[in-house]
Amino acid sequence: MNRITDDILFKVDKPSRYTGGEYNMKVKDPESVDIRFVHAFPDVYEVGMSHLGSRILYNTMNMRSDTYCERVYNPYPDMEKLMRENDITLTSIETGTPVKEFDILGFALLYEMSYTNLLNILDLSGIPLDSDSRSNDDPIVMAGGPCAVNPEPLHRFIDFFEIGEGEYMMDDVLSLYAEHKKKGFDRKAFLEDVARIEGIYVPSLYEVSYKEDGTIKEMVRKSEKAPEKVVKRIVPVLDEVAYPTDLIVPFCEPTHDRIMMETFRGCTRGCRFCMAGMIYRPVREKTTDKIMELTDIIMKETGYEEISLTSLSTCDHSNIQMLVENLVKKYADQKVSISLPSIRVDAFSVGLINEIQKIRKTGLTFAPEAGTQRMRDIINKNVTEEDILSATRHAFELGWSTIKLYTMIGLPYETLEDAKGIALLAERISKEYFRVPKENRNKNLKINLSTSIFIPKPFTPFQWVPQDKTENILEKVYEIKHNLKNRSIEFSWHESDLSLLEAIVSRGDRRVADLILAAFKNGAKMDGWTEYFNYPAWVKAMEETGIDPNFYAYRQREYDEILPWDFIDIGVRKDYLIEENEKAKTANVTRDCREGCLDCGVMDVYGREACFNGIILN
Amino acid sequence: MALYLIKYTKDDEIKFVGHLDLLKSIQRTITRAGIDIEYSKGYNPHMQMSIAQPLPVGSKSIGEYMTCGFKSNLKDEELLKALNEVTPKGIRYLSVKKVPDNMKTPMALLNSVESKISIPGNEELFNEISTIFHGNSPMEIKVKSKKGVESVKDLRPLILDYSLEYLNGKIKVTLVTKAGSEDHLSLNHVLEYLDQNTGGLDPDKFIGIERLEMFTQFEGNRISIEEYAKVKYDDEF
Repeated sequence: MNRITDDILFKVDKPSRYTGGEYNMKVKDPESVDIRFVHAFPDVYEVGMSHLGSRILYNTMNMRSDTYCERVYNPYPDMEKLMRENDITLTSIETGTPVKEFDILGFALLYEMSYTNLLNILDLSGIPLDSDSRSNDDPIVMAGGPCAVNPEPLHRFIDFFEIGEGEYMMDDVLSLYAEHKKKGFDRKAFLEDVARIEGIYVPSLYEVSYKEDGTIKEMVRKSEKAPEKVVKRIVPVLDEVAYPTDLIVPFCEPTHDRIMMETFRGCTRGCRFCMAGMIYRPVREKTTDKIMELTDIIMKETGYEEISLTSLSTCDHSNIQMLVENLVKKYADQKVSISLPSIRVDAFSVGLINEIQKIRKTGLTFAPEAGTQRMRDIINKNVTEEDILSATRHAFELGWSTIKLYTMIGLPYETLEDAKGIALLAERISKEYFRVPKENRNKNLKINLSTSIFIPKPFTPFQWVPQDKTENILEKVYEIKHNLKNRSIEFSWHESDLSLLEAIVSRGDRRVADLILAAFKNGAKMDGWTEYFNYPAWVKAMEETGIDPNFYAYRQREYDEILPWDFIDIGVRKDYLIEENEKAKTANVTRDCREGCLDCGVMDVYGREACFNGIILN
Repeated sequence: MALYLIKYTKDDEIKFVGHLDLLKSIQRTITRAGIDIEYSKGYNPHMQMSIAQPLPVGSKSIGEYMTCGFKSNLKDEELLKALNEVTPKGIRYLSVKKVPDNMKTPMALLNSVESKISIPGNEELFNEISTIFHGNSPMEIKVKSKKGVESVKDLRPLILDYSLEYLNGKIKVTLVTKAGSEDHLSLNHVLEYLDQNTGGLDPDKFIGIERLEMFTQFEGNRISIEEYAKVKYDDEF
């Protein structure tokens, strides 16, 4: 097996994707540690380096003196081609060690359409794709991240999953691994043992059987050591867990090239389409003081010129106004800019952004998600048309003229009228612009109306509903286009072939693993990249494996059906999700749970103090 | 404002970092060092930095120059120490010298560069290359202007000095070539010429290029930009 040399690097685009040596990259003597861990992000370097969770875990693991955590990414196709032609094995960024030689290989699962890249990384490393074909000489292959809440479509390939937040869980896993290594490592013994750690799922310790109609009959444990229910792990108090300050500063520009300052986890809004809003509960905030303190240290240790306050809905931080004011005041002289990546559709949030962008007004992004009030009520996006119009009017008055609107089509219980509503909403927003006196507004109104296709996800109230069929989607797209009159509105929407695959995989069971494997063998990888997306490879794989989109994507599931992810407990009860879906059918809204607990079940699992931890301190 | 001439390296381990990425990295190093740099006025303020000449992806250097405008006066040695403490591996700051605000930019000073090219090949290729350099016939290649107009360019007058060496399967060509805004020799043109006028260079092998020094013309002599600042401004600062 060969390694990447200069003779390869000079032929590829952006070779610094592969060469590391970034400021704050962790340097350790591999001989001095017990555990060599390689963190793999199943996409290219620029995407992987933009993922906060990977950054946190990299630093958390490297805080341990017995562990050296390194990184690896999916090579870009130009590099992969040269690697395969020249029989080159995949190696870590830090020390250039072949991935196969590590003790543990850990994947981050951020989106389903990266799963073929995961197989590609295993393949380029010379590690058997199937868990049961690996020997004691192969690394233990684990995975975690938001998509791990439905681990089944990867059950063949992954030795164990971490469900939930990784910081403390990873520590437990590494300590156990070190113990096992000391007494002579045996895969099987380790996997049985690791299953006892809270939040860990070892697929090989369970067996699933199916009914004649294809739905799950039961899932049984093969070992007493495996828990019946795998309970999602969380970090109870955010202020107390280590947050990385000496972040790697990449040479090769990542997609998001800025400090990511996490402000809180979880979300109280309860949008019914949103998986993140359910699986990241309970809401836990970092205190303003802690955020200010950490930001200061990170600025000094990285030299970055931009801070992004990240969370699922940053304007919902209980002390956001003061936080933003403090940051603006503190960094005004240093030309440091602050960004809020996700803002609420209301005038308050627009005012907040105005604080930050007093001089330079870049585009403003709103996500009304749906066009009619009925539809917004169905998905429980607690935003009224008046909220949207007053927010945009306010933005136009303050000098913005470019606005981006995120919407979805293919939502459950949606009609053509609702699709039309998306166009009408954009039209009304453009009218708000012209209502602002000419001398008070900036020229060149531009509304970028972007529509994506809704995909039902596990652990949401919509986990039972069918994915909308392509012919309906096309009809709805036409309805939107047809009703757009104003030329300042630019409409874009995303293709539906990829959406169908995402729908199959995200609610897939164990049998979907065969589909992913077949698609990979047919040449599918980099599925999330339009230019590399190979739909025919997937179509062929469906034929080969008999995986039927009608069953996985287009089928209405019954409440009493055993869903592939039912054995995982994320805290939110199933009957709460059922209740929410029933309310959706009649366009009944549910309040933000800050205004009063809705008893979703999270407190029963994580304790009465679990929610809003930190808010009281603010 | 206080203007400083800074000499730095781009070492082997980061030779594949692009020019703009390198620049950004240096800017962040300055921020980490806690040095207050001047910003340009205007809508989109950027740091007051001026680089002599971009180094292509794949090339390394032990003689890069830039000038930076800082807000306050700092001792040369202190600045040098502060930068080197927080720099990524692969960028080393070699010297810092305070210069007058009105000093010409490094790009304007630049007149020639010394580079070492390392071409993988056998002795036969070495002999072919030697014959070319030792000769005195024009080294002509076809070049295309930005507008697409083709013309013939003679490279030889732009080569001020050369030396050749054969070492461990590598042909080492050290060149002093014209550089800057007037006459500029691209080393890629030299490689193109050598490829066309020998048995050919191996397209699968990486050709290493290292910039050794950047020179200016001062009182009829070729001296490094660092030397220039020292000779010209040592009394004043």
